[in-house]
Amino acid sequence: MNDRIREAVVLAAGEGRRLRPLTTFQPKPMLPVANKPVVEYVLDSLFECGIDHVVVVVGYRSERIQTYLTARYPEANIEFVRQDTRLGSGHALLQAEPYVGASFVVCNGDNVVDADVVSKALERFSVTDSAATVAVASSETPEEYGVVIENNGRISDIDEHPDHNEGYLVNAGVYVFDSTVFDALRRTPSHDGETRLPDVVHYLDGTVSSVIVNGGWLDPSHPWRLLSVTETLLARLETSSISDSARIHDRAVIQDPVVIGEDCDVGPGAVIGPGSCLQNNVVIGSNSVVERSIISTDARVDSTVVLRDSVVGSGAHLGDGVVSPGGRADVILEGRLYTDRCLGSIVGDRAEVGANATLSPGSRVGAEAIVGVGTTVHGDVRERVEVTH
Amino acid sequence: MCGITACIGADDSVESLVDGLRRLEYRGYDSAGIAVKNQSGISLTKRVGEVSELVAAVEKDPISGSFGIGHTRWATHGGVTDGNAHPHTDESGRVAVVHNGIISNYQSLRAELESKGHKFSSETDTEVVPHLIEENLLAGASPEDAFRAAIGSLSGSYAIAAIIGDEHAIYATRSGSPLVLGVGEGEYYLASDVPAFIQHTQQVVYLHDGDFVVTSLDGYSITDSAGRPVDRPVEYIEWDPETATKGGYEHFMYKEINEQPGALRRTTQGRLDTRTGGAKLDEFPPGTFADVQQVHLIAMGTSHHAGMYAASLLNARGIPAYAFMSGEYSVVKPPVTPSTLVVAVSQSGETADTLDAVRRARSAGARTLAVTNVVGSSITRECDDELLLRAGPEIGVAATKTFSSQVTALALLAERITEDYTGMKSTDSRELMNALARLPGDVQEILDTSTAREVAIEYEGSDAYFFIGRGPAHPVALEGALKFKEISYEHAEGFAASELKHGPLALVTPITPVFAIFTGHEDEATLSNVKEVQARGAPVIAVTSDESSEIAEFADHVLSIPETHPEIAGILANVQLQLVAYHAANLLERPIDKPRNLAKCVTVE
Repeated sequence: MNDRIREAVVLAAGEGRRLRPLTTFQPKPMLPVANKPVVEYVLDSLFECGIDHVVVVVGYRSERIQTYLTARYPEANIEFVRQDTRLGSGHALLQAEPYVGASFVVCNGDNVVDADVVSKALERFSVTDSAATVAVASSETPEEYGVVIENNGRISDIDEHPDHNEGYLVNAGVYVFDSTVFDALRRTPSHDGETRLPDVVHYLDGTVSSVIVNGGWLDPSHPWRLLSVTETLLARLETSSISDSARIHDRAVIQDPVVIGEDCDVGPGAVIGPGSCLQNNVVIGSNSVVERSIISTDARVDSTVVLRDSVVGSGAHLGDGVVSPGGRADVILEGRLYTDRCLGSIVGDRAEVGANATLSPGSRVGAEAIVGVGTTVHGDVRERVEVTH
Repeated sequence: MCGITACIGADDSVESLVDGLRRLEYRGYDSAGIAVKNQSGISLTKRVGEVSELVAAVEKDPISGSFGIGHTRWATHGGVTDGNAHPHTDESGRVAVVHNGIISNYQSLRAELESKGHKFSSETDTEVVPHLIEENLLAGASPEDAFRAAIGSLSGSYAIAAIIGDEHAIYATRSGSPLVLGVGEGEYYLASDVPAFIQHTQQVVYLHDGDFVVTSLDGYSITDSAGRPVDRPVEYIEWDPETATKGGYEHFMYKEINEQPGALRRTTQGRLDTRTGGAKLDEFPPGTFADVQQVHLIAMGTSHHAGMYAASLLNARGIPAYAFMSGEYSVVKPPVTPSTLVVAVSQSGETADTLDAVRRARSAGARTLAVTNVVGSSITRECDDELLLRAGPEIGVAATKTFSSQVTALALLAERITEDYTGMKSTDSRELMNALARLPGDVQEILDTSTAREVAIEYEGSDAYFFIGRGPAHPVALEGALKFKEISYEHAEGFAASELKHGPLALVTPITPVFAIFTGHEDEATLSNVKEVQARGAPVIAVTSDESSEIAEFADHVLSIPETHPEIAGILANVQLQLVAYHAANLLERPIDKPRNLAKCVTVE
């Protein structure tokens, strides 16, 4: 517990376009990992570190976050401020200016962050005479994050788009600032119409300290990462977690570790394999096999369906015999090609996939789209369209 | 109705009282006031208007005191003036009183007191109370005895709190109006409803009619009218103050509309048998309703529309069922027998008309069952059984999520009654239960995709707004119109679709949009009604799941709902109509959470 800083700002206004179609109706911070929205991990960690006032900056599909968090934390002091235009993370933080005091934590709302990361950042901030502290972590894919140029615990630059990887420390998206950050943000020039929070390190009056936090920071940045982050979190559980109100048929097989939420119904002969999560009110029909997949609230999976390495959105319906075999695929997200990723298929909210359809590795079915009986899907099916073979 | 608060032992009684009043504002907001006790006596501040006016007055001219009472008013006797605002005092200023309810014999009491020389300074029924207390004090009674004697001469309904003379105590009692006691550490609260003090304590004692409470810094005592101690359990309330904050939304109503998927999940949790059909209600095991021959559903306002909805479900299953406005129930006096099940529907469980109707039903020998959202509310004590909605607190005066949860809970109850009455589940029980299981997701779909705002913009400034539907969609039409009128102040009316050509069609013009609700049952008949209004030039907004049909062809706008069981479609259609009403009122910048002249629950008849 830190005894000085009690306020935090959580940046949760973005959509998470790389995770479309899962973000058609909800922002990335609401995506479920091990049956908890990402942002819930952030708030739990903040509360554990003694934060008692959280300002959440919301924008895209804000109702989902507001409704969830106010119901989840009825007793907490949580305020919501809106960022209506997408002008970058720095601009998002500026929206919180009227609501916070002298010093505060800032976290990205779309990364899973352990309390340990927050407490290390707070501790580092309290023992250094710096204007800001940034948590940094080593990463295997530094090109996706801001690479941090640091020397003896002091940061000289955060290069958002590095051409070369000097060292492998990246910005973990957890900061401690004092209120001078707001003036510094106003001095920070925008790029491509966005004021980016990491750029502020050049405009702060004072040094920026860093703290290395290896582990404890997970970013479900891409669909395959959503699955691997879920797997990592499930591995921390000693046993599976199955809600009391879930009905699991005696002849269903549950292979640890899995998480099964409220009112789920798993039929006879179904196999729920390791790394799988059924959110709430999910129906899995008889003899279906679900491995290393995420099935969201209200989704219905009929009989003899095979789902591997896949994510099914809320209220989606997979007919009898649908097969998403999983495996490795080349995937294009937001115009960029990712090769050889472990990804089955992604089915958007309320999509209808007809009986015996096949969803090839790396395929994506848009929200509310309809895939006809027996159709084989490669690549993307757009939102609200109907495809048949 | 009104809201009362009292506190003793808090660090800052003024702040606690004002904060409590703010949270009770849904009960009334014509005027507000507080009285606190300090060395120089009782300090009083009261103002016409919302609690914010009172706050401004207290900030401008601070008062302080170690304990006190507060009130937010919804005028029944006497106009909306500073003088009629509570608290009321006697001439000497030694006694201050707040009251919720109606004192029916106040005129004779007032005449008697005036003949003894008491000078009244307001037009309220309440003011007799401080004068009665003073009269008894003058006759030598102790403060507590003076309070008891004063209460003893009252008829009517009331929850009353008083501070008297130099006693460091608050005296309170209830009869027919709600009053709860909050038990903190060295601090005690009294209020009309739990949200007033739940930020200070979650330990609550629900007081019964006829209970007298005296609280001081040392604790509290509860006695009956004869002064004998009574034992009332201290209950722990799980939900907390911040559930009563807006959570980033501009209005509670919009927050509560968005909370419906979660509320419905809680309402149905563990209560659906989706495999074989039928409702699983722990409260009512099979056979519970074996003796029931007919069902009366009694309620007011939105709850009445839920009652009508349930009556149509029961009738469709061959069970005689009738929905009554509870305010009419005691007047019409429909025949009641011991085989009549009277289902009283009230969000708050405090609706005076409904409580009165329950008492009549009980005295006539009926079995009574409360469907309510509030644990421990008066109606749960008045009725033999209760079915809780579990929808979570609803603050917006316009009921939204509780209508959805009421209809859902009543549909489950109807299923249970049907099984006991006919000896078997209803014919498509399994489909119905599965439709209820899908309901939260279906409501979420509407919230994600609704075009209600565009409809509200398109038809802003129309002469009137009409809503039509048949079968279970008839009460939904009435509810759609009620929601629309109560928050937008625009003229809105709901009709049975078949009723149009028997009169209301005369009102239909090119500037009266008509909202037509299609459930997938008898849609063709409703479509022919739509053609009738269209022939008069009225724009038609169809609420339907059938976008590709003739309906969409005829309608000027379609508000789409997911395909579901026809008996559940009305709940979904209603969500679209909630959104239309909300956006229409928002465009007009109405005070959506606190519409003029209305209060959340009406605890006076």
